[in-house]
Amino acid sequence: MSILIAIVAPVQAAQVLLDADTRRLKVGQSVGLHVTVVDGSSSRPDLPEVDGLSFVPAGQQVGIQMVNFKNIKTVTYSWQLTAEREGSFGIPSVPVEVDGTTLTTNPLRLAVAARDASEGETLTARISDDDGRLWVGQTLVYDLHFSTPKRVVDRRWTPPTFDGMVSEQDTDRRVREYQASIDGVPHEMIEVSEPLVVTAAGRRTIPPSVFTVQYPIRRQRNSRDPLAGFGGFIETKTEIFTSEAIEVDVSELPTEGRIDALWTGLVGDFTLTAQLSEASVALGESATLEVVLVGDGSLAGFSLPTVEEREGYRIYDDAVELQAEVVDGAFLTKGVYRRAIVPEAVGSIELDPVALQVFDANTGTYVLLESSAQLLDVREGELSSELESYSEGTVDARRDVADLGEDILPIKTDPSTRSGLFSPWALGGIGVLPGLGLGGFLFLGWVRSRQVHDPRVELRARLVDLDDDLGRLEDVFREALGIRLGRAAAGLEKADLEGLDEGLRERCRALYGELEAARYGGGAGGLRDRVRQLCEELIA
Amino acid sequence: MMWLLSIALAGPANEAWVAGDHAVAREAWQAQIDEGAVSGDLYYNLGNAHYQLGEVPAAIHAWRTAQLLSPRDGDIEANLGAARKRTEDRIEQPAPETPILFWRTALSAAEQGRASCVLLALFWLLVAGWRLRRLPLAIPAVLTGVPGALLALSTLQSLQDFGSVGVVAQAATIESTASGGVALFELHPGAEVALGDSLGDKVLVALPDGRRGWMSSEALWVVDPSRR
Repeated sequence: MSILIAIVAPVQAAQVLLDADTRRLKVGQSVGLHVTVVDGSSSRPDLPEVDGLSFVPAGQQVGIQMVNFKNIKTVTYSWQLTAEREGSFGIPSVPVEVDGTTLTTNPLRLAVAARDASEGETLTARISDDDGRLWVGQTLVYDLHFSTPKRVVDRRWTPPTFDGMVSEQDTDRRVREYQASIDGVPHEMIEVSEPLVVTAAGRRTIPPSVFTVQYPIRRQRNSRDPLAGFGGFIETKTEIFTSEAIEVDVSELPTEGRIDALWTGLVGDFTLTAQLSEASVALGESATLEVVLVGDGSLAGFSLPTVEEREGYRIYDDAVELQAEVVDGAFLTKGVYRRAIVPEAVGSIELDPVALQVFDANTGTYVLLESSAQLLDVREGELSSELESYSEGTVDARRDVADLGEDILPIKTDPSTRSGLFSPWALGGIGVLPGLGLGGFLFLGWVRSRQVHDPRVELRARLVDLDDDLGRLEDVFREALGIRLGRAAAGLEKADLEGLDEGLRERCRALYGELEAARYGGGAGGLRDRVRQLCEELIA
Repeated sequence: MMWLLSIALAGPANEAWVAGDHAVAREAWQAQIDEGAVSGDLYYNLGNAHYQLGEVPAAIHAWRTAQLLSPRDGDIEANLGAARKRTEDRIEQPAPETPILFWRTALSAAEQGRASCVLLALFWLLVAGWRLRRLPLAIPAVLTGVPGALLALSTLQSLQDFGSVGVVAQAATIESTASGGVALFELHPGAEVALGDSLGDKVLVALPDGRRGWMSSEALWVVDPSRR
């Protein structure tokens, strides 16, 4: 649905769409039929009566999605569609009243097949062109259909080896799962569609597909085990189903009727249209030629044939837009190829029709597809005076530099002689040696800081360099006394000498007296020697 | 001395090259290399001379050596691409990955080593200033020391890469064991292989696709600019 909305959203208007869970049913089977109203308000529409089909209303759903930063409301009205008999049925467009305006849905075609004799699980495989001959290059769809009245927990498809075929590269495998009712019994339906391109001729066998299904096992609740079934774990049983092998005959494409100059390699039923975006443009503007190729064959690798440059305009190919999908078991593809037409002169430009040759697999013949010629009127424009001939004037007439040959690049005429080698020893020298040196230095400092401080040693060093400065003599003497008395040197006076031996105490007092006398200019000579001698005795 | 030699020989080599005498140019550049010059440009020019003389395997060897010395020189890769097209064995070279130590693909071993030395020297100066002068240099020291150490490690790793690649000089059969064994596959001149263990005159070689086996070391040129 999101893809659907994404496609219709740019229209900026309400849309109504008709769709079914599947478009291939069996007699007695019931599936969902849905009318979706996008970006509008409406009431439940009335479905037309179709002989062979019956519709029963089955509720409605409302959803809101954000597309391109805009909230888009979708209302889906559902019916239960039941196929009453075999045949092909068309549900015509359904009128829906949306916001006061009557819009109509797309029509829908359904194919109803006879009932299988078997009941229960069925696995069937088929290819989209099983009734005719296949051709190399043709695109077909391998369909696998599984239905079961049981609930399925998990399923896995093991694809067969598609000998002589490859998966189509512009579309993915399509897997659909939906609920259907057969004779009132609900069934789970699983459809797998694999688009394939035939690559080799001859008799080819597609081996059976293997479908592995897991069903839940119902067990009686064990009242003794309160944790039974706790945690959401479901016991399952695995069953394996195999489809039948499919044999096909693949033919080489004939050479008769092929026009090599126009042959595209496309195989299928295609239609080609071409349309100019503008019938008239001013000089300096451009028009777009849109070539649309629609068909049931792969467009992988196809590009529009190149056209010769003509005087008066230039052509540039734009990006290609490819769409491919599987619809009701058929492969559908659409390629939009755009070419920009840039006029270079005022006047009328006649664009040649686009001509292609494809191979129609249904008729087994080559078909020439040709679009109509397109006329483009070029009138004077604002830039007319600036635009001149393609090859002269201000128009960029440069061309790509063409390769004339291939050779290696030239030599270096001034080669560097700087050595490209490097000795790891240099790395060791710079990276490690300074670290060792610095580390050693720091280690020595650390060792020194750890050594025990001995004031006697320090004082002896000071005594060696002692001079006649009176202040220093007093300091040294007090420090020696402090060391001897085990007290702080600062402030030691004569009265603090009681702890000394008597003789030493007297001599210290005498020296105090001499220092005091010297402070006032008195005292005898040789004071320094006496201080040094007494200090050495004190710290001995 | 090397500088003087290069000046003396660059002129004649260039003149011979311009004159189309590629053999003389090759001898001149080879002489410079034999004399001890180890420069990416010289190996590049030598490869060009080999190539013009039709010696494609030797050219590949010279350019692979030049790549180790001048990893940012795009001319070398371009010429290697041209030479590889002329070899017999199509060996898809693994796409260069950007490692965590991204500078390893951008810098040669010598450039990494020199940058590492500068950063580490700066690191030690900053550490000395921090520890000895008590300057606030701890964070700058870390900011230079960490990249310096990383560059030092990657330098050692890059130096180990020397000699890890070989160019097949002459056609050789790759065998399952060093003493013979089953012939696994053949390699032709110009094929580039990764080198592993060696045993006697046999060396273990490996292809980018994982195949490996033993071949004679005499049929192989080792890509190692430190060898002459």
